[in-house]
Amino acid sequence: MLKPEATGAASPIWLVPRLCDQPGESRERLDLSPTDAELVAHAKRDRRSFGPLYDRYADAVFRFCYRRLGSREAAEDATAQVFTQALAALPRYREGGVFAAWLFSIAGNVVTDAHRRRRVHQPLDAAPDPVDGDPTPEEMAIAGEERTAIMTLLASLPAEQRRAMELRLAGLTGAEVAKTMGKSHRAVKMLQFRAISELRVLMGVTTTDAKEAADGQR
Amino acid sequence: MDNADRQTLDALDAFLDHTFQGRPADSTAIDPGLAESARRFYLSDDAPAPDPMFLRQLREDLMINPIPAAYSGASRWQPPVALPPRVAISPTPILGRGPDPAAVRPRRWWLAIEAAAVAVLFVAIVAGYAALNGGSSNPADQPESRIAASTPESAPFGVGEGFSGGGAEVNLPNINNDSAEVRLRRVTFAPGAAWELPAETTWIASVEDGTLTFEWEAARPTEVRDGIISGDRPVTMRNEGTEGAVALLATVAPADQGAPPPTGVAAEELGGGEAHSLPDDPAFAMFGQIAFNKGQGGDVTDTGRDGLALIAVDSGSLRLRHLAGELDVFRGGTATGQPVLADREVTLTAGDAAVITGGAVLTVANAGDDRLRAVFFTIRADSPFPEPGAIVATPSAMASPIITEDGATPAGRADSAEPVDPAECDVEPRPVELTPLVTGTPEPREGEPGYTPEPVIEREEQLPQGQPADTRTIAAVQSLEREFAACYNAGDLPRVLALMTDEAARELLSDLLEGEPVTAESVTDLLATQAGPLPYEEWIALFPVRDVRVLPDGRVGAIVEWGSPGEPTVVQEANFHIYELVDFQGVGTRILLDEELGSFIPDCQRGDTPQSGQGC
Repeated sequence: MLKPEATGAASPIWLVPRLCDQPGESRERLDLSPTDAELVAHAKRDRRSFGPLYDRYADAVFRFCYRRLGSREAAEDATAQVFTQALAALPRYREGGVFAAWLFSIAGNVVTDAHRRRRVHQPLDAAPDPVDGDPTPEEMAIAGEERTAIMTLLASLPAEQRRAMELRLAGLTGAEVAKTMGKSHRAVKMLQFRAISELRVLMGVTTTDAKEAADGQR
Repeated sequence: MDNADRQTLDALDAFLDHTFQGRPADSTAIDPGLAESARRFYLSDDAPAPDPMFLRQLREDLMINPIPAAYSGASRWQPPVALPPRVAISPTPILGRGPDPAAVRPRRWWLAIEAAAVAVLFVAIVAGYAALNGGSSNPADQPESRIAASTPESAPFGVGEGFSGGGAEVNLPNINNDSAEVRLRRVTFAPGAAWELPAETTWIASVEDGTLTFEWEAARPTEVRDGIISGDRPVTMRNEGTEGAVALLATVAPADQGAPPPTGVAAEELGGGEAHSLPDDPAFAMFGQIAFNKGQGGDVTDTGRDGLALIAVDSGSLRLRHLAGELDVFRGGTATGQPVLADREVTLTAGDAAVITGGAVLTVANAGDDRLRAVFFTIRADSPFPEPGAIVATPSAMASPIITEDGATPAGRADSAEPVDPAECDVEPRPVELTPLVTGTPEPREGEPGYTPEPVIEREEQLPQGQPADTRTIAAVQSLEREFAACYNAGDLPRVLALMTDEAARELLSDLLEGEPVTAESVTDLLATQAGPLPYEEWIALFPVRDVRVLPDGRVGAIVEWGSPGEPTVVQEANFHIYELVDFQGVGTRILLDEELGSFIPDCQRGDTPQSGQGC
């Protein structure tokens, strides 16, 4: 377990499996690994102890950014910015919070700002209607982005449903998604129900498919 | 939602918890179609893994490289201080004075001023006051409440109260997601003109000149003069007066607010733009004004992570450095180009504005030779306003270079005193109608029975001792003394009186009237002899106040030193001033001059080391 007095470089015991690995791989955390709260408490005292938190979430944050920005380069820039801001803001992180929710709130802001920087500024009178921070098709074309399968699916969802599912893909639990989005858990449950229902239509999952899949799993 | 629906949602949520973390999930409790859709969606995630080289390099950078200053954990925030009330002085101080802080009896500060200068002041003040007020003594012409008719029952909006002006709590309920358009305008209303703001607009207005009436559904109108008011419902602003009215108006809305104002209303765009990640409700919005002389500058605000700041230059040239957030420059209301990333310098001139989003840490300086005036507007998550009872100060004092970042009184005096421009005398004059409230029996004067001479203060250690004051208090004291000097140089006795407590005002008037009872008639007669601003060579020049301390009775003391424009490096007068915090009902608190302990020679001028350890 974490030793309160430890001040050196990250101890190997902290190098726990990342929350998000390749799809399909096990994402379980080791029981003996310190909790996020323990790591945060230690990192507040010793910046080098931020390493295990970074290791735990770097992959998920990168993928989250990639799904929103559509290019590896942009996702890397955003990931670096997310962790720089998180590290610097760590002293102000409130005890008792959910670190993952806090981190992905930062990530959401960074990605939104990244979209904003791409836009050409116009006089206010000619300003288009405010948008939710996602690129327009023209902007994606300008940026040379190609939509992946997951981006195509996500783009088909209403904004809040999309955001909930993006956070789900990042490995957050329903409760963590709710905290990140500033909504009640119940509201998020409804959002994801609607999102999955919509995805079912988009992916053309029939009842027969579902039953066959369920039988196969049994 | 019935129980079955709730169970479905709960089961799906649990299923997703497992599935999206790659763990086996029980799908028996949910519709097989939903379960299969969730699985397929999860497996369709083709977002690539990050490059291991990138991850290693970033980890190394984070662990080794210094954090950008803008993100350092130590707060650089200098409290954005509220403006002093430009309001009639209320004779209702709520704080007791307590015992005298020292055995030394107070000496009337004005006796320390050269008699000749005082004589000029009297003449100048009467003429100036008469000119300003047209000789009217009509109560209707006198300053009235800063926020008229703004009672809690009548004002569902957050009306700025509890501090000396500046801002109010606002809700931003109409902002979809986290994107919004923020605009700051200076709006001029012709007599009789009205403007209904678009729906879904959160707004905050600072009425700078004239009176405006704010009308909204199901409530009686609120009349605002020299006040700040905000709301999040459709509102109509109306000028029911016979003169023009001017207000600064900031709006936050989810959609373009480009509809032009109606006839009779002119809106000057000061700046605006798209903002992201605004704070959650309730947020705090604030207007402020800053003024810097040549070479001056200082921190303006740190809005916090999701905050927004908008700064517009009225006159002069402003050099701006934003240490966090993203900055857009507007010229004549139009964005000039791409956003400027943090930690860059930008120079703005009159008519320019800048919007900083994503958390603004803002430092500005006067980049030119002329006096710089600018207005800024912020939205932040936490209140920038002092707690009730705290001392507030003016931004100009905050910007003074003598105020150190840690709040300590500056070490030593600045090299020279600054002649203070009478234009900085901005406090509302004390109305003549209030002078009877400060009348009373004057203390015995020299030669009269009961007169006790004041002891001579030979060393600073004889002055009342106390605890070092905080930054806000120092700023408030410096601001008060600066305005006092400005009003003195303006020859404006009513405004000088407005900077004093009732008791100090009574004693000043008593001395000026040379023992004659202080009555409305005698004061009116006195004011009738005033003549206007002093010639430049007769101005007083102010050294930065020093050794600001909180006295045991709760009042504040400071050493105040004066020079002259002709000899700005020579201390001609040193006083110990004592200040009291006074609450103006419905407006806020303000620090006022309460007493002066007699003039003395500063330790440093005798070649001694000052008691505080601070040198001249």
